[in-house]
Amino acid sequence: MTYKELVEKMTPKENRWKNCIVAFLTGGVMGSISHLLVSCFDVQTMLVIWIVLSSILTGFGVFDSLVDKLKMGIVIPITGFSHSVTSASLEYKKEGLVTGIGANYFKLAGSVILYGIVSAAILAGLRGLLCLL
Amino acid sequence: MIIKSFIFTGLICMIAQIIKDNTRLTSGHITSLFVSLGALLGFLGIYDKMIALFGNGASVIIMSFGNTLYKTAIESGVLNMLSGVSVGIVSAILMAFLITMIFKVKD
Repeated sequence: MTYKELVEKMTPKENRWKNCIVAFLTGGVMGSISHLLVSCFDVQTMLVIWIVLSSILTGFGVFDSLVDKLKMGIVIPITGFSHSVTSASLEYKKEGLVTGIGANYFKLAGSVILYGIVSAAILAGLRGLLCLL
Repeated sequence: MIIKSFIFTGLICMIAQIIKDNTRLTSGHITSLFVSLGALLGFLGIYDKMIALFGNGASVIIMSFGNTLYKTAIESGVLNMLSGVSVGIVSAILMAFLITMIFKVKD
């Protein structure tokens, strides 16, 4: 038995089917609750409720273990965005207010904002060109 | 409508999980990808139809961020596109700052 085979044997196999089902169920529950919240309030309020909730859970250090259990079901909704800001901010707190928190605030969430804006701008420009034709 | 929301949001999260398990992409890559995909679906005029069809479960997914950016860019100009998502961004910034001031880092 080569070393590579041994490593493959000893590494615990992640059960991909189980991960899929867990992500489906968690995402589904998130979607259902969101739909209920929107019918009670409106879309913006629903987003704010999720953002506040996931920020608080991140502060208590619960969110990361929830991600381990619930998989992508809570990363793909807006909760993942809020978590990435809060966790980066908490992580660099000890390095100071400006060089720590300030400089690293959007370390993870920045890519979402950046690529969102870039792709929306390109597509809006494309639409403008198509309207000219 | 709640059941439709359940199935739709669940399916999107499942697709993300499949991508994560079978490629080397991290959660950051996948969320960035989904935001761009959301803008593309908005460009094709599909995303609003999906929200109408599957309920507001579709508004909680990060794809809706891209869709809102694109829609606001069309309605009020490219340079104003953040006005549509400012509620989410500002509340995330304020909450994260508040939490950082209150809590200590857990190792």
